[in-house]
Amino acid sequence: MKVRFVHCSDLHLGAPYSMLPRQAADRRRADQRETLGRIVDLAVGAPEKADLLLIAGDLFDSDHPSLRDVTFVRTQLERLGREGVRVFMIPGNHDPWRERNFWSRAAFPNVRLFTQPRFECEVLRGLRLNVCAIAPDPSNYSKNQLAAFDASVAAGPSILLHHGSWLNFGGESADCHPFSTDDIRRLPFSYIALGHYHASRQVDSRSAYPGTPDAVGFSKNDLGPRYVMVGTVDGEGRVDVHAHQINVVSHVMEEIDCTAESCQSLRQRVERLLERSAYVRIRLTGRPATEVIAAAERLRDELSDMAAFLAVESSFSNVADVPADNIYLKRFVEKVNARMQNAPEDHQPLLSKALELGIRAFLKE
Amino acid sequence: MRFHSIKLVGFKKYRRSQIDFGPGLNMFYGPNEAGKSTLHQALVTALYGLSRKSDWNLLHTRDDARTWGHAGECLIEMDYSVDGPPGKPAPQRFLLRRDISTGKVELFSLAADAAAEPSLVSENRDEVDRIIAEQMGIEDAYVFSRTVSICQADLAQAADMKRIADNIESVFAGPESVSASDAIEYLDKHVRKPLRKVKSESPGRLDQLTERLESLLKDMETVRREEQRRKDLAERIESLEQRLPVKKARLQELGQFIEKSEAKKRVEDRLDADRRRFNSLEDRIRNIDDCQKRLKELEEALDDLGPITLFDPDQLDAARVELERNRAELGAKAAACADRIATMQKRLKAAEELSDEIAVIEQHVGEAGKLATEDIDKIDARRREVVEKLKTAEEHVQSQGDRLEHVEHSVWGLEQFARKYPDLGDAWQLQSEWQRLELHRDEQQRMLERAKANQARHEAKRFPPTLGKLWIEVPLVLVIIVPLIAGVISESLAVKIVMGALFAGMAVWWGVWKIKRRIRREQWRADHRRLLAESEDAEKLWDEVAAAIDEFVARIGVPEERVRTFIEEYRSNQNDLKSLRREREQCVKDRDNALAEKEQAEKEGRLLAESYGCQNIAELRDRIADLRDMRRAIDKLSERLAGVLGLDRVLLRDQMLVTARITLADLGDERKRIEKEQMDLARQEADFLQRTSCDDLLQLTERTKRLRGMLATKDKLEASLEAYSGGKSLDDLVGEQRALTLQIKVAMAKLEDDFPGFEPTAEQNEMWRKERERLEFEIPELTNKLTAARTELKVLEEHATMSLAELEGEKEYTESEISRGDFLVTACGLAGEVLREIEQEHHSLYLPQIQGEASTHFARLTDGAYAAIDLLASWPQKIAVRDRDGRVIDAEKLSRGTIDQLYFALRLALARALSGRTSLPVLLDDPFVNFDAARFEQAVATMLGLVRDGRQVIYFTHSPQLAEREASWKEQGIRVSCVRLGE
Repeated sequence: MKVRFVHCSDLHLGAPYSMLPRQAADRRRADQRETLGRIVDLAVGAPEKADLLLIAGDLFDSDHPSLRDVTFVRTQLERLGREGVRVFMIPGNHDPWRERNFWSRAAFPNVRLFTQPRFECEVLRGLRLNVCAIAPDPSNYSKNQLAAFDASVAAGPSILLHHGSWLNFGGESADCHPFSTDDIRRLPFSYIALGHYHASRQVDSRSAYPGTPDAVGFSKNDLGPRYVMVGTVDGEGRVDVHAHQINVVSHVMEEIDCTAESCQSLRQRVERLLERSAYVRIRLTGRPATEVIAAAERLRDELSDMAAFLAVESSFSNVADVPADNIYLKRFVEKVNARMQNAPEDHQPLLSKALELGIRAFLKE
Repeated sequence: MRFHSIKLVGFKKYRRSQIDFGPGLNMFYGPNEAGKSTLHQALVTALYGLSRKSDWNLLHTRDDARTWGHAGECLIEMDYSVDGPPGKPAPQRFLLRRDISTGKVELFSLAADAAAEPSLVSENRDEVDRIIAEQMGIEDAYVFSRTVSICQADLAQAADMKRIADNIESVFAGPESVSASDAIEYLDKHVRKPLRKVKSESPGRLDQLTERLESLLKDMETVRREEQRRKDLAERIESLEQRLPVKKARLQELGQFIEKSEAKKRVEDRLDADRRRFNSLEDRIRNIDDCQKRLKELEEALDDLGPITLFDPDQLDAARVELERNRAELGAKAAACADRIATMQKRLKAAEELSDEIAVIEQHVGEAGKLATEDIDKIDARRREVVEKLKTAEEHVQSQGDRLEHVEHSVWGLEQFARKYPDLGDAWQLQSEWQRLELHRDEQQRMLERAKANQARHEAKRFPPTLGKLWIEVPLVLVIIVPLIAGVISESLAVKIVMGALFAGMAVWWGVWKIKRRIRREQWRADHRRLLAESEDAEKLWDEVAAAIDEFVARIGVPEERVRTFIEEYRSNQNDLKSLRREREQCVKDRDNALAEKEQAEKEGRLLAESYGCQNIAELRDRIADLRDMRRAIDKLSERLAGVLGLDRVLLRDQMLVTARITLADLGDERKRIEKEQMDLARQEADFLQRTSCDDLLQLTERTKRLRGMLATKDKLEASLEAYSGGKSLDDLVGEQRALTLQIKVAMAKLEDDFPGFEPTAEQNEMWRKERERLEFEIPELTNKLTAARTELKVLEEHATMSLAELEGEKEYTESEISRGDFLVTACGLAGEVLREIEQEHHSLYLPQIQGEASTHFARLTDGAYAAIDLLASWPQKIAVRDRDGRVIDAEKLSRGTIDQLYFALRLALARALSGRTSLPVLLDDPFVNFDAARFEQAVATMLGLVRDGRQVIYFTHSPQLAEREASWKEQGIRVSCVRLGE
């Protein structure tokens, strides 16, 4: 018999979205709840209902989530319970389990929440499967929890839930229970459901990070499509898992070198980005023409209606052409450039912005 | 700088022309459409190319420049020289070629020797533009056309001082006319003001954000407090939930202690009362003994005294009086007695009525009543025992059921295991077959080995070889032949006979031996053949069995080891299964036993109930409860009966009635005694009357005195005795005392039994009572607190709409927005600072230079009527001039002609200021056309002044008027050339 499971992690319900204005942040928090709803749809949905839903930590963004999020999660868990999907969950480093915090007050139904920072197992006799987990330890995040594995806890087809940093993930700090690829290889589990990093990545054929199902920021790992893992474990412990795209909204962040851009081409590039996503962050750099510098602000004003959130930051190194017909402007550019050459590094952004503002003032943009 | 010549190919109306420029004044005159303006445009285009800016005098497109209807070459070639750098006064000569049709630009350097080849300086357009801008000191065609190139329209447009100032300013501020101060104003209005207010302006975005941040911080503080409050409440609820049950349990315990203590006290009080009664009884008995002893002594003394028969009239009177008194006393006594009897009878009647009531209840209770008084406790105990038994049985049934379920589960699991290998049944069969085959194979193996061993042995025991036979046979033949030879050679007959017989015997024996040997050999050979056949058969069978095993293995399709493992596992599971089944049977049996036990207990209960006329135990229990109630009612009535009868304790009803009747009988006796006393008194009276004749009065008196004294003492003693005995006999009292002793002992023993080791002191009792009072007050208070905390927590959780994280997110966003805004404001300030610096530079550098130069030109143009122009005072709003007397006049008030002169002066000054040290040629396109005669002459004089100063002036005019003066100017030493266009 094959056991079908859906594995997700790092939903970060109630994330602050501190880079977005209030309304957009509220909208995104509502999106997060909808995403959880879609994950539950996927778990209970036809034609193949899942037997298990695995949540590998950081379901909530903090250990004092809003009542709205807690209530929503409860509703979804009840729904899963009605449909006969069993839920296994561990807290994460964002929402750790502590004595008398919200986890104990919330008392979620139809879920096995593993709270202890040691290997715990539950045997599902009906499914002939062993589900084990190890919760993060808020008092010691630097400990490698997988190294302390006791081989006696798992036998036969089995799944492990773990929230931690894979040392080979790349470009990320290993700040939560770091482990190596060898640690993973040594474990006898059929599947290891990982959580912590926000990008979707498979460690090997039987362990994976699904990444956050709904972006919580504009960092590298939050950009692009979002996934959950869907898979099966058969009676021999063989696992077959693949990533399933779950997001509706995605975040886009791009740096545009404006040196060779005209106003028109820049506008087209930004419009193309806005077609990809409603949440876009752009950084304009390079040494563009004066008209492009002057147009950057206008671009944001004109295109902001096309997006739920559009941030255009400009940090130009210099200007490509100096108009000769305005002697004041010419002198201005000369003087600011002279200051830039003499100013320390940390003054450059300010001078660059002053240059941009001056050009805008002369071109009345 | 000086223009030498310009060559035009396909440029507007010039299809192919070369125009040379001399030093000094170059005047081109001709009618309209003669090509003056075209030549002017050609000069500007040669220097700066086609212009992007819209200005009437500049060409924008190739088609503008090209000869109309001519699609061929369009080229301008200009020969000019520039002054050398300081210290190197020799001018450098250049050739600038601009091919407008292809956009190609080339700049050549011309050597002083005209015959030498020009050398290419650059053919890069940007580079050439840069070089030209550097040589000219003016970078842009627009600035050029606003300074050194002056048209008729320029002056015509400059109608008022405002426009003049704007025109001058626009040279610096470009065609859009954005000056540094405009930029400062723009930044302030469009960047700074929307962000941060100054003084009374409306609040900017940053001000709003700062305000929002403050309110957010407040909200966060509130949410944090709420969170803390929620945590506190949760802790409080938990602690209360733990404390309350403990307190309640303590309260209950205290209640029990106090009740027990009070019960004990009641028992002790009763015991004390009994003890006091015992002591008083003892005193009374001792006193009675004492009185009786003294009475006995007195009666003995009275007997000694003998009869008294003395009479005395006084005494008689006294005696009569005494008698009367006695009679009255007795009468009163009799009346009192009669009263008591009546009261007693009334009480008895009431008692009898109550007794009837009790009797009615008892009758109602009937047999059951009897039961109630005697057997209730026993039945109750029995009933409890039965119920207990039933419960135990049920528990047993339950546990056996669980056990059975467990066993069933295990059995099911094992059967599942068996079912998992559906072909195992076959395998099982196969296994036995296989085993059988293997056994058979082993047997065959053994047989084969045996056969082979036999054969080997046989072969080892071969017949002696032929050589051995000869070895035996030759001596044997010799032994046989020796007697023959001996008989033949012997001469004696006897020897011959003996020898012959010996020979014959030997020969016969040899023959027999030989035959026997042959037979044995045949037999061995047969055996050998048989064994060989057997061995072969065994080998064949073994092969067959091995083949069968191979076939079997192939048939079941799994490796042999695996099958073996399965089978072993299966077999062990089967064993387990068997044992589990046995266990299951045992469990079922146990459960059945338990059920039987339960039934038995139920039956017993039913029987018990039936024996008391009830359907079941419950009914019996109800019945018992009813009976208890009735018994209590009877007890209550009995207490009342005792009260009615004036008894100090409750006895059995009949006993009480009997006691009452005895009392009544006693009273009857007393009445009879009194009546008897009355009769005695009457007899005494009669005796007394008879004995009045007695003499010895004195003696009598004396003796009577003694007698009376003694009688009085006796009466006293008797009264005392009566008082002590209380109407009871001494034996009764002793009996009562004994009963009391027993009662006290029993009560003490009971006290010891009921309250073993329970000796609370008064302080302890008081402490318990106080603690109970405190708890009774505390528990409701704690309960209220718990309810209040739960309600508050619920309200808090329901009303917490925004989480701290959300607020923190907004706070971070607001802070980053503020920091971004601050950054913008700072950058804006920096840009403003640079712009103000430029503005300052403009005022301190360019304006004084323009003012000085323009003042010279203006003074010359106005022939000294005005001495100077004042730009610095309030540029660009106002321009003032000073006349020759030093008066300051607002330029606005000057005449139109003077304003034109002023503007011309300013334009000339501007060209000078911008071109710096380079002395640029001045291009004049009929600018003085509107000047009156006097002003025209002054303007021409100014122009000639410029020429005298060494500047090249190119003057385009429609009128040939000035050309006529060429000769006279030349005479004055002014370098001038006049060219008529359009011919």
